[in-house]
Amino acid sequence: MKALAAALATLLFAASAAAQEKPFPLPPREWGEPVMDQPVFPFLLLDRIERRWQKGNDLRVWDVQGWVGGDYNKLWLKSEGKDEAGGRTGQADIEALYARLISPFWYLQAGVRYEERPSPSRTSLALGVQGLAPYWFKVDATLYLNEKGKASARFEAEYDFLLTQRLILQPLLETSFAASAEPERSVGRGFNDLELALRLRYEIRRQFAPYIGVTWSRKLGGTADLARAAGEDVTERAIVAGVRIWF
Amino acid sequence: MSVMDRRRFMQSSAALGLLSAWSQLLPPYARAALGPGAEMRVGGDRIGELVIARTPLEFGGRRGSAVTINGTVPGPLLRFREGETVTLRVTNRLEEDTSIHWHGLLVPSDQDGVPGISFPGIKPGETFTYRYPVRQSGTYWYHSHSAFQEQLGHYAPMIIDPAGREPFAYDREHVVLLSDWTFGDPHRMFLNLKKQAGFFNFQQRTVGDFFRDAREQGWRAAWQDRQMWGEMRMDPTDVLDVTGAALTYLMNGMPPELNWSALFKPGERVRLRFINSAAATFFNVRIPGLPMTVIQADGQNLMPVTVEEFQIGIAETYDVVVRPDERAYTVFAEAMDRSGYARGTLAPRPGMSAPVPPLRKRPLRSMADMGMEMDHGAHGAMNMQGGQAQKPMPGMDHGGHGTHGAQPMKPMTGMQSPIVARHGPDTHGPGNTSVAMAQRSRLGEPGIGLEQAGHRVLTYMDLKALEPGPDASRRPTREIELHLTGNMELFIWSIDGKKFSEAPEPIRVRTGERVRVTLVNDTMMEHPMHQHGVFMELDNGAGAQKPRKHTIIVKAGERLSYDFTYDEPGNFAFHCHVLFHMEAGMFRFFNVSGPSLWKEG
Amino acid sequence: MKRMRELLLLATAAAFVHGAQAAGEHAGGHGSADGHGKRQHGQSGAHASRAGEPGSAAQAKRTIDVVMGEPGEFRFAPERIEVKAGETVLFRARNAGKLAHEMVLGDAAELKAHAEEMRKHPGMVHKDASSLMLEPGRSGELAWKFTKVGEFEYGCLVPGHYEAGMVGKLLVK
Repeated sequence: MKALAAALATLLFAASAAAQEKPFPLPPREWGEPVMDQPVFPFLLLDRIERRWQKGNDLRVWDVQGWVGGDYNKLWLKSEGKDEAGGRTGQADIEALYARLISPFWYLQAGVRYEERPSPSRTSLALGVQGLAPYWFKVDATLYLNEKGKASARFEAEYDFLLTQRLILQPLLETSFAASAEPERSVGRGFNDLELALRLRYEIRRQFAPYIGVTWSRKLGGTADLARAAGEDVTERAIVAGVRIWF
Repeated sequence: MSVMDRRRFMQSSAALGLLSAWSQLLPPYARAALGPGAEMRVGGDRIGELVIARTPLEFGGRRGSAVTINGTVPGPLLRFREGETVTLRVTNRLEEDTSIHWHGLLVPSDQDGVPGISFPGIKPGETFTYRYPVRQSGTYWYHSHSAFQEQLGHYAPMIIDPAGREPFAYDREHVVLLSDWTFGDPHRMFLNLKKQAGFFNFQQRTVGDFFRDAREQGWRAAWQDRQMWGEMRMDPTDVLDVTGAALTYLMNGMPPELNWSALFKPGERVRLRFINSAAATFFNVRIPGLPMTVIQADGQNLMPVTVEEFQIGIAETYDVVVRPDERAYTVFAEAMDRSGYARGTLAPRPGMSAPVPPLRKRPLRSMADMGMEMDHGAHGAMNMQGGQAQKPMPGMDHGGHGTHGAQPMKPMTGMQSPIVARHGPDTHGPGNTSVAMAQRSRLGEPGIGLEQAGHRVLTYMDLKALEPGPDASRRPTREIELHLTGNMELFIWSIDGKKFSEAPEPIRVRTGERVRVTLVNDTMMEHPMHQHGVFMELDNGAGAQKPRKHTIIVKAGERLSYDFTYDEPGNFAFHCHVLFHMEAGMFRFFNVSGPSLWKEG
Repeated sequence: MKRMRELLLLATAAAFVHGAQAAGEHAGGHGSADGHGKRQHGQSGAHASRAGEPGSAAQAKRTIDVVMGEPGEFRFAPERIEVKAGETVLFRARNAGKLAHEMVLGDAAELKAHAEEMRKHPGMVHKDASSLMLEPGRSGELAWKFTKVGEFEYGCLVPGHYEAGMVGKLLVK
C-alpha cells in the first residue's frame, strides 16, 4: 500500500513538474541595460542674440531658451527681451516650464513667467504649446494669467526657406493679446502688437549661424493709443544683425 | 607615418610588386594581393586571443581614435571550421565596458555577447573566455555590442569553412568588408540628431529645387507635392540619418583614396565575401562591367542568381562569384543616399585602377514609403485617426514574378507593390510620428533609388535557399505582430511605440515552438532587423526554399513575415541594426524557455 | 569617297554578322531583343561547338564517367579531363545533385557567351549535340569526337550554375 502511494506521488510530482517547466530566468538587474535609450541631457538655444538699429535708438535683443530632460519630459526655460541703448524702457521676461510631449510634434508646457520689465514687474501662470505645425511652421503659443488676475496670450511662428543647404531665409510673426487693459504697464485691451521680421542666416556650422535681417513692428489698438499718448512711435522699422547658436 | 607618405609608399611598393606590412592599423588581409593573406585560424586547441583597445587612427590628414581589435580596423579575420569548438579569450584594455557579439552565429545564450541580456559585459582589465561549438558555415562578422564602439572600429570579418565540400567552385576569395568611420564622437552625434532633425542631411530640398521641379513637372504638380509632404511634416530627402557629411566610407578599412586592391589571375573565378559592418549606412554595390553571381546571403547557400547590383543593408552579408576578364574593375559601394562611396579595385596586377563611376542622383522618399495609397491627389493626408482594422489578406501574391530567373517586364516601384493590409486605429502614441495606412509587400523591390537602375538589381524575391531548412515546411503555431515605430523629428525609435526601457516584458517563446513574426514598418526609413540566436526564415513566396537570414531589411511602409524555431533556451536580443536607432530604443529580446533540442555532433 | 566609305561599312557589318553566326548563335529568334525568351523558343537548333564534332558511340575508344552535382551541387566529378586529339569519347553522365544540370562542351569563350545568352533568356530549351541535360537522379550519354588540340571546358549552362563554378577543364592533347 505504501509502495503504491509512493509510486503515485512520484508520478504526480513528475507530471506537475513537466506541466510547469521553469521559464528561463530573465537577465539579472546587475547586468545593466543593453541600450541607454533614456538619455537626460541639456539643450541651449540662443535663437536670437542681436543688435537692432532703428530710428532714434539701438536695441540689444535676445531670445533664448533651453531645456534639460528626456524624450517625453523636459524642464524648459525661456527668456526674451530688449535693452534700449538709452537705458529707458525695454522688456525682459523669463519663463520656467514643465513640458510634456503630448503628440508627435507638440509639447504641452505649464509653469510660470516673471516679467521684469516694463515695470511694474509681474508674475504669471503660463500654459502653452510649442512644436511644429503642418507645413513646417515652428509655433510657440502661450496663455498667461498674472497675479492681478489679468489674462493675456503670446503667439510666435517662424518658417525656414532653404536658399541653399546653409543659407536660410526665415520670416517670423509675433503677436500678443491682452484680455483686459493694464495702463500702468502701457498695455491696452485686445491685440497689443504685431512684429514681422525677415532674417537671413548662414549656417557656418549647424550650431553657429550669423544673420542679418529687417523687422517691422506696430503697436495695435489700445496699446497704440497709450503709446501715442506717451509720445512714442507706434510703428518701428529696424535693421538687425546677430547670431544664432545652440549647444 | 603620415597619410601622404603612406600613399606614396603604397603606390611605389605596389608597382614593385611588393606589398609589405606598411601600416600598423590595417590587417594583412585588407591589403590582400595574391592569395588569402594572414588570418586567425581558431578551433580545437588553437585559442583565439583578442585584445580590445583604443588606437590612434589617421588618414586624409585627420586624426581620430579608434576602438580596435588587436590593433587593427577592421579587426582580424577569424576563420573557424564547422563542427569544431572554438575558444576565444577577449581582453578589455579600454576604460569602459566592452563585449563581442558573433553576428549570425547560433550560440548558447551566455556566449552571445550582449551586455544586459547575455552577460554583464567585459569590464575594463577583464579577460572573458568565449567557448562554443560551431554549428554552421559561411561568411559572418563580429562586433561590439556596447555603447557606440561599433561606430569606432570595433568590428571584423569571420569565415566558417563547411565540414564537407562547398557546393560552389572558385579559385580565389577576397573579403570585402564595408564600413563607415567618423572622426567625431558618436555619442555627441546621437544627441545632435535628437536636438535637430536632419542634422547631417545636406541634400534637403531648397527653394531652387522647387522652381526646378515646377519647370519640369508644372507648377501644380510641384506645389501639390510640397503640400503633401508639408502636411505630413516629413522630409522626402531623409534617406540616411548620418551621411557622407560626417562619415568616411571604408572598404576593408581603407577610404576611397587609398584604393583597396585585390588581385586575381586571369581566367579565375573569384569569390567576394561582402559584409556590411557599417553603423549607419546601407550600400549599393556594383562592379561596373562585371556581373556578380550571388551564391550566399547571410552565410546561407542560395540558388545562384546573377545580377549587376545589389543593396546591402547594415549587418547583411552577400557572397558572390565573379569571373573577371584581364583588366581592372572598380568595386563600387555607393552610400544609399548617394552622399559618398567606398571603393576598391579588382585587378590582375598591382597598381592598376579602373574609372570610378560618378555618384548617382540622390533618391527621394515616395508615397509608398509613407504607407499612402494614392500616388497623387486628393488629400491623402496622414490619417492619424486610423481606419478600420483589416486582417491581412491570406494567400496574397507577394508580387510574384513567376518562374525563377525570369526578368520582370518593368522594375518594381513602391506603388506597384501590392497592398496586403491596412493599419488599425492605434497610432502608437506621441513617440511615433505616422503609421503606414497601406502596408505593402515590397520584397520584389530592389531598394530605394534602384528602381530605374537600368540593370538587374537583386531583390529579396530572388533569394531561394539551396537546401531547404529542417523546419522549412512546418507551419507556425503562433503569430506575433510587431510594429516598427519612431518619431523622426525628435529621433525616438521604438517597437509598437515603446522604447526598450518602456517595454513591459520580453517576448516569451519556447524551444521547438514554430513562431511567425510579422513586422510592419510604420516609419519612412528602412530598418535592418536582426534576431539573435536563430535564423529568420523569410516568407518571400519560395515555400520550402525560403531563405534563412539573420538580418532582414524591412522597407518603409512594408509588411513582411518570417518564421523561426529556437532550439536552445536563453535570452536573445532582437533589434534594428542601425546603431543610433538601437540606442534610441528600437530593441527587444526574446526569452526562450524549454529544453535544449540541439545535440553536438 | 563617301560611297566607298558606305560600302566599306556595309561590308564590315556583313562580315561581323557572319562572324557572329559562325560563333554558334542559336537558329531562330534567339538573338531578338524583345519579349521573354520563353515564347520565342521551343525551336532547337544545331549548335556548333569549337571543341570538335558529334561522334558515334560505336566508334568511341574511351568511356569517361562524369558525375554532375558532386562533390557539391554546382560541381563536376572529375573536375579535369584529358583526351587525345582525334579521339572519340563516350561520356557517361549521371546527375547526383538535387537540381537539373547539363554538360555542354566548348571552349571558354563560347561557353561564357552561351551562359550570357541563357541568363538573358531564361527558360530557353535547347538540344545540341554538344550538350546533355539531365534531371536529378538520371543518367545519359554523349559521344564526341575531339578534332582540335587545345584547352576546352565542360560546363553546366543552367542560369547561375556556370557562374557559380560548375565547369571542368577539358584538355585535348
